[in-house]
Amino acid sequence: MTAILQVKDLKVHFQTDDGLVKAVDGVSFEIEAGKTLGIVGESGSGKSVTSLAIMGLHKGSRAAVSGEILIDGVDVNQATEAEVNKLRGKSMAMIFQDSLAALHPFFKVGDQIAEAYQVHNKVSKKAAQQVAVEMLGRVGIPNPTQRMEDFPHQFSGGMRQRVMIAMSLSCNPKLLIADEPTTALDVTVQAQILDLLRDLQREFGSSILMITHDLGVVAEIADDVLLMYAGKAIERGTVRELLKTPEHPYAWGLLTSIPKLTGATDSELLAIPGTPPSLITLPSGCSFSPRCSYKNRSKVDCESAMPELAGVKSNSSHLVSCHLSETDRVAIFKSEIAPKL
Amino acid sequence: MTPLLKVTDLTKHFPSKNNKIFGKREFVHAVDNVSFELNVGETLGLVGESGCGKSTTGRLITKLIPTTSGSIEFEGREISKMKASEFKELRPQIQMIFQDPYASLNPRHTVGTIIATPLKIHGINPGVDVKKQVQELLEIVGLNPEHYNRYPHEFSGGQRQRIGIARALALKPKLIIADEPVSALDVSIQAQILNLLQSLQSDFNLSFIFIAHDLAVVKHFAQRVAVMYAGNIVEVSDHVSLYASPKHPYTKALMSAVPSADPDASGARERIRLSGDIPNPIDPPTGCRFRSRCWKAQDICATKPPLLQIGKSMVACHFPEN
Amino acid sequence: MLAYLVRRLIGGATVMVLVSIFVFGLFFVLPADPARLACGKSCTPELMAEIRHTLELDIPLPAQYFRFVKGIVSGRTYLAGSEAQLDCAAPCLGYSYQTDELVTNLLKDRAPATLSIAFGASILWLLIGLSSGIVSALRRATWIDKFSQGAALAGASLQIYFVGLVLQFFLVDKLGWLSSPGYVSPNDYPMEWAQGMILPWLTLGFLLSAIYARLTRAGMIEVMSEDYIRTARAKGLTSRSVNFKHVMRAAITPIITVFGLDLGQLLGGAVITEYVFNIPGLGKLATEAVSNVDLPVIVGTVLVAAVFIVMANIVVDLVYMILDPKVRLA
Repeated sequence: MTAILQVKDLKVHFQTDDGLVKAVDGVSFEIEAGKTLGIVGESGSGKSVTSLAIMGLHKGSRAAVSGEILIDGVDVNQATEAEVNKLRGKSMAMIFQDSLAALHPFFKVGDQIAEAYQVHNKVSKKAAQQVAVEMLGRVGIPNPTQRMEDFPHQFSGGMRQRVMIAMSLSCNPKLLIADEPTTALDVTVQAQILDLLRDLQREFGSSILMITHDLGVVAEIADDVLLMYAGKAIERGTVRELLKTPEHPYAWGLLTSIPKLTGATDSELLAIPGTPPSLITLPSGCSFSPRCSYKNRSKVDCESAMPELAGVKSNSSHLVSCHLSETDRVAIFKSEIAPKL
Repeated sequence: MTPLLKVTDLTKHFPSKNNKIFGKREFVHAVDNVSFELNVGETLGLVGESGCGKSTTGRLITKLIPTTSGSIEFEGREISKMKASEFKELRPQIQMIFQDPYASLNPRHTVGTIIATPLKIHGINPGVDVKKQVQELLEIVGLNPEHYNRYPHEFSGGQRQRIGIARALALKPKLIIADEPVSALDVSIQAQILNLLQSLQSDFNLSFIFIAHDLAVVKHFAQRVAVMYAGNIVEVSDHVSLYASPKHPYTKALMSAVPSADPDASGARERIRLSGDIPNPIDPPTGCRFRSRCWKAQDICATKPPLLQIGKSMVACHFPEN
Repeated sequence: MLAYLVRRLIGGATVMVLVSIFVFGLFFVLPADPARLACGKSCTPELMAEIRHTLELDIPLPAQYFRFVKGIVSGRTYLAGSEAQLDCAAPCLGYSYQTDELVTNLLKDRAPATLSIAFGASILWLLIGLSSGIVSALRRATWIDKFSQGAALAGASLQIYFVGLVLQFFLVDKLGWLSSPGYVSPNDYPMEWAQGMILPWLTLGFLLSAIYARLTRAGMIEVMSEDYIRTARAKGLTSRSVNFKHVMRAAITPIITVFGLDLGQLLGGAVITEYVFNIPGLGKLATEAVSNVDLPVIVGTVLVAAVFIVMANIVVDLVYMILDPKVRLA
C-alpha cells in the first residue's frame, strides 16, 4: 500500500505572552490510499492544530511549524505558498465543524463550490456551475439547481455540511481532512453525514483524516486511530486494537468514562481525575502521569521521561507510549478495564 | 402521593420573527401539549434533537419564560400563572444548571460573590456567616474552598460547571433543571460532573429534570426518559426499557443513529436512517408530527396519535414497535 | 423588498413631520418675535400689526403650522386678494426676513457649493481611506502600517478649522501653490471651480479618510480571522483572491453604511468647512441665518439637512439589504 500522506515529527509551537505553547510536539503518522485515519483527543490535545498544519494553514501566522508533511511528493512545510495552493483543494481538502462559519455568508453556495472547482480547472464559469450542481446532487441535496442560488444561512446544519462536503470533493482530492464534521449536528443528522462520507469515500477513493473527540464516530468510520494527549500521540493502532484492546491508561479512562447505550447502567462512571495539563508548563515525564491511576504500578518513574511510542509485542502496527510494562498493562486491562467495557 | 412536579398539556408558542405587520400572525410551536410527572428524588431525562422543545420545557418550568397554556404544578401548587411576587418564595426550590459555564457566570464577580448572591437575595440563613456557607458549598462540589476569591476565568470548564452547580445548590432546592450540563465539556470531565451530580442527588434527595441530546448520558443519569420530537413528547419510559425496546419509531431511529464506541456493536445493530430534516415548527404536520419522516406512516397518522401504555412505556403512536 | 421600501418611506416621512413640527416650534420658543425682527428700526405698532398680518402670525399656532405644511406641499399665497399679493410656489418655505428672498431660492443658490464640497471630498476620503486601510491590514505591523495608523490617529484627533487654516497658510499664503479657496459655478469656470475647491476637499478628505482607514483596517483584520477565510485559503485560492474577493466582500459592507450616513450628513451642509473657507454653501447659509435669527431660513436649512439624512438612512439600509443576503431575507 502506498501512503497518501506522511507526517514525520510534526511540531507546532505558538509563542504567546504566557510562554511557548507546544500545541503539537513530535507527531508522526501516515495515511494509506482509500483508508480513514481517526485522530482522537480532547480539546487542547493538538488534533485540530495538526490538521491545519497539514493544509499549510499555519503559514502567515505566529505558529512555528517543523517536521515533514509529505503529500504528492511535496513537503507542505517547506513549500512556498504558491506550491501549497496547488495542493489545497486538489490533493487535499478540508471540512470544518461549524459549517455556518466556514462558508462565506455573502456568496451563493453554488458560486462557492464552482469557485473551488475553477481554482484547479481551467473551465468557464458556466461549466464550473454545472459541476457544482452535480456535486450538490451527489451529496444528497434535493433540487440542486435551485439550491445553488441560496446562501449558506438558508440551509439546515446537516444540509450545510453536505454543501461543505460537495465543495471539498469537487476537485476529487486524494485526502479529505474532516475536523469534527458532525460535532455540531444532531445525532440522526450525524448518522446521515457519516454514511455519506463512507459512500463518497468508496466512490471517489479518497483517504479521510477524521479529527474527532467522539470514540463512537471513530468506531463508525475509521480504519486506524491515533490517540493524542497534550500535543503528543500516545497510542496508535487499528480501530479494533484501540477500542477493543487499548493499551494506554488514558484510552482506558476514555472508554470507561463514557456512558454506554447498551448494557447495565447503574454503576458509577470511572472518571479520569483532574484536568488536561497546560501546554505551556507540561508535567515532567509522561504528560498523562498526574492523572494516571496506574502510575504507581510502573517499575519506571513515570515523571522521569516521556515514554517512546513503541510497538506492543512484536506487533508493529499497534504502538503505545507508556512506562507500564506490557505484562502489567495486560493484567490491568484484563482485571479492571475489560469487565467495564 | 402528590408528585413533586406535575406538568399537564404544557404549551409554548413563540410569535414568529417573520411576522408581518399585516397578514396572518405566525407562531413557532416550540412545545405542544407536553405532560409528565416527576417524583421526589427522581430524575426525568428529556432527550431530543435541537429544536424539539426540550430546553424550552425546562425554561417554562423555571418560569424564565411565560407559558402559553397548560399547567405546571409544583408540590400541588399551580405555578405557571403565579405572579412573580407569589413565585418568589418558591423560586429557591427550583434551580437551574446551564450548558455553558462560561456564559452563565459573571466574569467580573468572584466565585464567592457568585455563589453568595442567591443566598443574600433570598435571605437564607441570615444569621450564619455567608462566607462559611459558600466555602462549604465549594467543598461539596469538589472545589478548593480557598479559591473563594478567584474569578471564573481562573477555572477550567469542568470547574466552572462545578461553580454553577454550587450556585444552584446554595438555596437548597428540591428540583434542579439541568439543561445540557455536560455537553460543553470534554469526555473525561463529563464523567466527573455526572458522578458529582449523582452523589449530590443521593446526599440531598434532589429531583432532576435532565435535558440533554446525548442519549447515552441521559440513559446513565435518568431513571425515566421522555423523548421529544418537534415540540411533542413521543415516548416516556424507564431508562432500561426505552433503550432495550424503543416503542416509538422515532425513538428507534434515534437509538440506531448513536454511534457506538464498540466496533462490533456498530456492525451488528439495525440501522435506520431518517431522511430529510425536522419539520418547520411554524407549520408542523397535523396528527403525528413524525409522520413526514416515518417509514410506517399511513393516512391515519394525520390524526392525533393515541397514547398507549405498552409494558413500562407510554407511547404516542398509531403503529408502535413491539 | 418593495414592502420594506414603502415601510421605510412612511417612517422617513414621519420623521420629517416630527422635525418640521420641532423647528416650526422654534418660532415660538425663541425669545425673538419674528414680526419684531422683520419690522426693523423705525417700527411703529401699526407697522408691526401689519407685518404680523402679512406673515400670518396673527392666526392660531396649529393653523400656522398647517399653512406652513400646505405651503411646502402645494404653494402658498400671502395677502391673498390685496394688491400686495405674494405668490409663493410649492415647495414654499416662506421669505427670508433678512433679504426678503424666497427661502427656496436661497437654498437653490447655495446647494451647488455644498454638493461640490461633499462629492469631491467623499471621493477623496474613500480613495485615501480605503487604500491606506487595506495596505495597513495586509501589511500589519510593518512600518507602512504604523505610519498610516499614525496619520489616521492624527487625522482623527485634529479639527477642520485647525487643519484648514494651517493648509491655507502654507499652501496658499506661503507657497502660493493653490489659489484662495472659494466657489464659482463649475458650468461657467470649471478650472477655477476645481482650484477653489481643492483646499476644502483636501482638508475634509484628509480628516475623514482617517476614520475610513481605521474602519477598513479593523474590518479587514476582523474578517481575516473568520472561518470562511480559512476555507477560502483551504480551497487553494491565491492570497490576492482571498483578500480582494473574500475579505473585501465582507469588510466593505459596514464601510458603505458609514459612508452613506456621512455623505448624507455632509449634503445638508458642511458647516465648519464652508465657514472656514468662506464657501457659500448650505452650511454657511445656516450659520448666517442663525446669527441673524432669520427663522424661515433656519427652518429651511434644517429641513433640507433632515431630508438628506433621512434619505441617506433609507438608501444605506436598501444597499445593506442588497449587500447582506441575511438582511435581505429576514
